Amino acid sequence: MNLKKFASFVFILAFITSSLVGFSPKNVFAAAGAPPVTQFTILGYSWSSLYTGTNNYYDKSYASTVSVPDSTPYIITYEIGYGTRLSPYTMKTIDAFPITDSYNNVVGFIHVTSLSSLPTGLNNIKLSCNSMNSPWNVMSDSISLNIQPQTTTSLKTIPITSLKNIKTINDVNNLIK
Amino acid sequence: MNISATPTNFNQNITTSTTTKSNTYNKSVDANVENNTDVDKEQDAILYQRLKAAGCDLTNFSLEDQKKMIVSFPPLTAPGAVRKAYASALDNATPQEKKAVAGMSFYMYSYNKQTGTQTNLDNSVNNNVDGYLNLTNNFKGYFTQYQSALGDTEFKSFNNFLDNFTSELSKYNS
Repeated sequence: MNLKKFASFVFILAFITSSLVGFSPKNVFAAAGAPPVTQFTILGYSWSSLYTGTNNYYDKSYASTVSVPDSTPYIITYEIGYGTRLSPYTMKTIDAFPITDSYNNVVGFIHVTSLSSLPTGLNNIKLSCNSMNSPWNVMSDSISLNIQPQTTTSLKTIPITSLKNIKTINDVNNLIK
Repeated sequence: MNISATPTNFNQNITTSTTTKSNTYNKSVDANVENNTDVDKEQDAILYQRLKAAGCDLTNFSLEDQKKMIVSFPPLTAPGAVRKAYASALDNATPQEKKAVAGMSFYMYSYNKQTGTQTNLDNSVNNNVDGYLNLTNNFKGYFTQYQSALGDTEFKSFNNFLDNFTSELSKYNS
């Protein structure tokens, strides 16, 4: 009787163990589908020449202080869950970096998205993220960017002979007036 | 448009943006910051040129302002030795390693968000070579959770880069 009980205990234990093998949290995610978006935040902003190579960006808190010298700003978003980003602007994903949890599951992404051809001046930009799975919720965040594309005074427009006459800063002012 | 420039940034003002506001900040590199070492000054000069080329406003904001507002890794407020060690490691990195560490500042953001670890040591007593050595070593432990997300090759390249960075950084360790 005791042996029988022991045998059934071993059987149950073996069954549970075999069920757990290959049933890591990662697989739970796969079985249940991509988790919905639970967090969507704009971290900051950048533009091509600032971002390229060094991935530099301004923290969102400086958006009202530091303007963007490019009509194609980059927006950096932090997303927990899986969703589709939406915006009224023409968007292009520049980079996507995974966010993982301690079980090696990809639980979200940091996206770098470019928005094309924004008009000069203050732009209130709203980005949304629609969950890819139930409950199909939408999360959004916004940022106000002052777009001021740089229009430099080209030296080519100044006759080279005039440059020879520059002696003081007033001469420069007179030339570029 | 009227320009009140000093001869030191003469060339900069010839090509000043027509949309730029009045010049309220005319210093070029903030060489006036006390206690800056030669490496700090060298790295600041490189940074100044890089930010200027990127179109950052160095007329209305000082370089020190910009260093605080821009997010990067290493933070732009890190000691020059830390920034130089990172730049050296990048210069010597393979194309695979460069690609792998492209998201460094974002991975550091996630590290900070998930563990509460301070990844910008500005205003901290640890804002030195030792502080960043410790930060990088601790980050390596955290980053193991990215192995399957990145794949073995990219994960290995990332770690190789971190090793090279800490090796470069150790050269400045007193």
